[in-house]
Amino acid sequence: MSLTSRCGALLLCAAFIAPAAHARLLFKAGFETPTDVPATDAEAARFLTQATFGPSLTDIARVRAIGYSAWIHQQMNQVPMTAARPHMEAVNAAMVAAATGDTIGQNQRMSRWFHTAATGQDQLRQKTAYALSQIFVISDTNGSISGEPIQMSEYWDLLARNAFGYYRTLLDEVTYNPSMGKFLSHFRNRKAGTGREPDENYAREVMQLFSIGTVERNLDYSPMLQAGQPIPTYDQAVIGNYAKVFTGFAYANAGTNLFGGTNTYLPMSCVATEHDTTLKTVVGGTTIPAGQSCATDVRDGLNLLASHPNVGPFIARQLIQRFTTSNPSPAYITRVAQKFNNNGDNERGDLNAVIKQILLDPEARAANPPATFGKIREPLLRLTAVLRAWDFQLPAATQYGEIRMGMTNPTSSYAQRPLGAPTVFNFYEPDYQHPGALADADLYAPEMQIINEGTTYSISNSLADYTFRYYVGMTSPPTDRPLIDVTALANLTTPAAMVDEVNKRMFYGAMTTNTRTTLVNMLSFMNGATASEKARSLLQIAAMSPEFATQR
Amino acid sequence: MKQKEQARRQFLRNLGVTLCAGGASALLPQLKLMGSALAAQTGTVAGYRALVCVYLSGGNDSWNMLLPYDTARHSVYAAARSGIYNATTNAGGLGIDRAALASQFQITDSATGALYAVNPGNATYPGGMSDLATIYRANKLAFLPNLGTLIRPITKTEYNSSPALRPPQLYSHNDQENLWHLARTTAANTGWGGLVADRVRLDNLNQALSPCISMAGSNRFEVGESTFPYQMSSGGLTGLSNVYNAANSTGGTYGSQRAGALDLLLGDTTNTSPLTKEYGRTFKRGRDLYDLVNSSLTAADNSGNVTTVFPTGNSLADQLKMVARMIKISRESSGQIQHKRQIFYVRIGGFDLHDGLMATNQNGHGALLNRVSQALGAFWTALGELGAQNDVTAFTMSEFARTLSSNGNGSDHAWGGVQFVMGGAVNGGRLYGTFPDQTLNNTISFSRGQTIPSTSVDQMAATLARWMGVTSSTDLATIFPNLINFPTSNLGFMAP
Repeated sequence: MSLTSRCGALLLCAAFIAPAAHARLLFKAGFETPTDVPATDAEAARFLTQATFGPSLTDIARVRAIGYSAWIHQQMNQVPMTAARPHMEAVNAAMVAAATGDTIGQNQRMSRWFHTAATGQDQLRQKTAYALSQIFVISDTNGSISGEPIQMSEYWDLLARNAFGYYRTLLDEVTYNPSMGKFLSHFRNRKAGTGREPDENYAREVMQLFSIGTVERNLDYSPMLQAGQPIPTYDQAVIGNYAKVFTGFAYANAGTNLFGGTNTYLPMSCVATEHDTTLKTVVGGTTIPAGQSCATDVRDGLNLLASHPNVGPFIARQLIQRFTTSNPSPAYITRVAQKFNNNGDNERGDLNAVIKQILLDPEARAANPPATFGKIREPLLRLTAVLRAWDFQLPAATQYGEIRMGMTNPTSSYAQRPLGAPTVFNFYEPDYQHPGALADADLYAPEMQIINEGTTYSISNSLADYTFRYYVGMTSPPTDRPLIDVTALANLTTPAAMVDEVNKRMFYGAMTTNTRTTLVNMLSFMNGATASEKARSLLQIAAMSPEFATQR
Repeated sequence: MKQKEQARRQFLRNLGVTLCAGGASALLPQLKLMGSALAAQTGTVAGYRALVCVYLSGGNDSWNMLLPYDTARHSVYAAARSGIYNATTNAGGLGIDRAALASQFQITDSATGALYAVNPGNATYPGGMSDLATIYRANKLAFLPNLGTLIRPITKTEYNSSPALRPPQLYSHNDQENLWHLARTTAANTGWGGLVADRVRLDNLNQALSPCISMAGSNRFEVGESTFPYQMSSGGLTGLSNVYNAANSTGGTYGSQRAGALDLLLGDTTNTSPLTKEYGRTFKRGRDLYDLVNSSLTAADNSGNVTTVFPTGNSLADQLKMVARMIKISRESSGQIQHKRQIFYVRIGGFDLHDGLMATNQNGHGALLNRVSQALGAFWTALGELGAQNDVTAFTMSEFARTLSSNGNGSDHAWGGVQFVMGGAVNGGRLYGTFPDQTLNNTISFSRGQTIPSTSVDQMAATLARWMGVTSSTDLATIFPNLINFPTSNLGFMAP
């Protein structure tokens, strides 16, 4: 089938790209009524555990006052975005001006990330960006971008800006982003020449990981079968043809020289003389005609991917896994995929509608979820949850304006690092089944791929640093990291009252009786300990507990 | 046989439960006796034996790891690789100049007399793979050219006409890596190393410590029906902060109270969430094994250390050094571990070189292979220090090799490629299998030089499994269900 004969479909794709965005915001502004106010702090806290980097007392109160929908609406439409790149540029400028020899690096990007996760008002946007960063992966473990922290911050901002936008726009911006271009090597990808074929890297991963996946899917994510076998979505020939689509990319101001231009974060341009203009046979046997411009080829190629029926379930399931549960029911995936396919205004790929459905879905909000509902918390999100649950005294900004959070290389403790996965396959894979009881029960548990004897220790020890070791009132406190202030907790007079406060702030009121009894007893047995030591011991052990390591 | 197999699995599962429940140490001598009786059915081999899987992540461009040195074949190679790389005159070329292949990189296939060379590195990494070439020349390293994932032997005609005969999801990183770990082409939760360990682990005295040990996190390869890898860091074990630990930490004034609470939480089996329980089990396993492993590794008499100097700034070397230390403490005849069979997993990434394959910086292929060579060279020396060279076999795996032709400054995903096996029990100094014709688009390759493998992962794995003591054809057929499709299950590179 040629593209021209599918013109209708392509035009349809084009129609739900950018122009609709304005209409949607106007149309949808503020019509939700607070019909979904949680009945308890616990319910609000559980919702916030899913939707943010961790519930804070302030957010719990806000959600209880206005309800889930209105809170989501505020987050999506009213709370300004906390940008990373301008901050990084300011720190860089201050370093250059000071001429002390200090240079900006990934450490500053980490400081900014933890500061935003812990204190940013745009929690849902940043949490969504974090989820998207684990689908549209770039990584500073790759030498081609490890030395470009400002550009990588722009990539983060790109994800945050598009968090409630349209998938098709996001796919476009990701494709043209120079950090992605370098990470997946379509930057300076040349058309075929003597003894040289276009680089297949981006062509493969944009299909396998960013859009349609390797096999045809039903709306509920189950694989379509033919004679009992899954049906591949593409083959090697399609990869080779898509590789031609992604040729000619260069720096924004490269002009006609593929190797020219300035290294900036601006979207890549395309050098016409290096773009492959031959006919390309791509997914579904569709052809992209010969002789088109680079921009048109990329538009057509991405339109075909974005309009593939796989995208809804493929993206829906992964986002659900990041927010609420590792094992969504087929019906839950279907409901979210339906929102992806049509947000109610006949628009496709509206992430606003997708995120809302993920969080408000009956399966996510059920008061007594089944035992299999939930997920292992991402290790990094245990730390952010601790930082948001309790009062911390942050260090003064450095002379360059960086606020240091005590965590410049989280990988060694948490096996995770924002925009720092080992490869484009992220820290763990959505289909990971942990051997043993979980696999035997046919359950997925992506995060268990990085949980082992070693990391349970290293995560625990880092959490101990934040909950026990470094605190307001200690002797000779460090000046480069947050100090926990346990005054409020230590002032509670009984072990039971202290544990109940921990239950409220860290366990959304769902702490089991066994855990509660164990923690109360521990405090009771600490005869002679100061109130601070008791409070910090309680926090450390609670933070290490298997229950806190899980989100239900 | 099937019934015995199931009975043994059940036994091992029960054993696992017993150990988890604690108090197993008193039972261990009896268990060991029972174990020996059962394991005898599978044809055990005396003494200590270990496999070390060196996973090259991202798809190693192995056509630049082992290349033909004779002028005729080298020129075919160079043409397929888009010419000899030259930073100024042919920056897109991926071929290594024959003139760069000095004598320390040259090797001869003693089986055929054909001349080859290993990667010579570059100006920044001049050592290249000379360390491994030296071991090859000592006949302790063998190359397996053109190995890959296969359901059965497949011709190019069959490939083109019968998609069902192709391994699923060729060219895809994670899918192909999975097939290497499985050594089968259908979905499974177990890997071939773990299934081997299931069958040979019963002679290990300490059953609480898994026979499978990973320095590189989770991996399917080491998962069996009753074996799950113990995952540790190459930096060794770090104690738990502020928590009492019998061996070496008071955990502070209230460390024992905190330890008491933590252990109760980890041992709580009443939580309804299977995820919470799995997390608790994993953490508890770490607690249970910490004293055992750490006290041996850090013994005051330094018996947990090796004196061999490993290269620094080389993560693979760090991992292999820890493997050497674990082998040392595990073989200690008066130690608490006393393992007879172990399988280790180490990993080095960065091989997905679509860009910068020939770069002379730390990210280029020359640097990566130099690190592999130096790390394994030091490991070989360390095994000598332990007197364990004949007892340990290291081998590489990588999800696929890469296109011979260039994409401008790198290579793309392909299929068959070269792996190597190193050890005192390896009949080395030669190639096992046919080094492929490197003309683009010939009868065993496609237009970009994606090569159809002539030998399967299963055959390499079965040869190693046999050396580990899995000798019964029934066991081999269970672990490697496709093995029957290939002409031999023993490639012959291991001494009996």
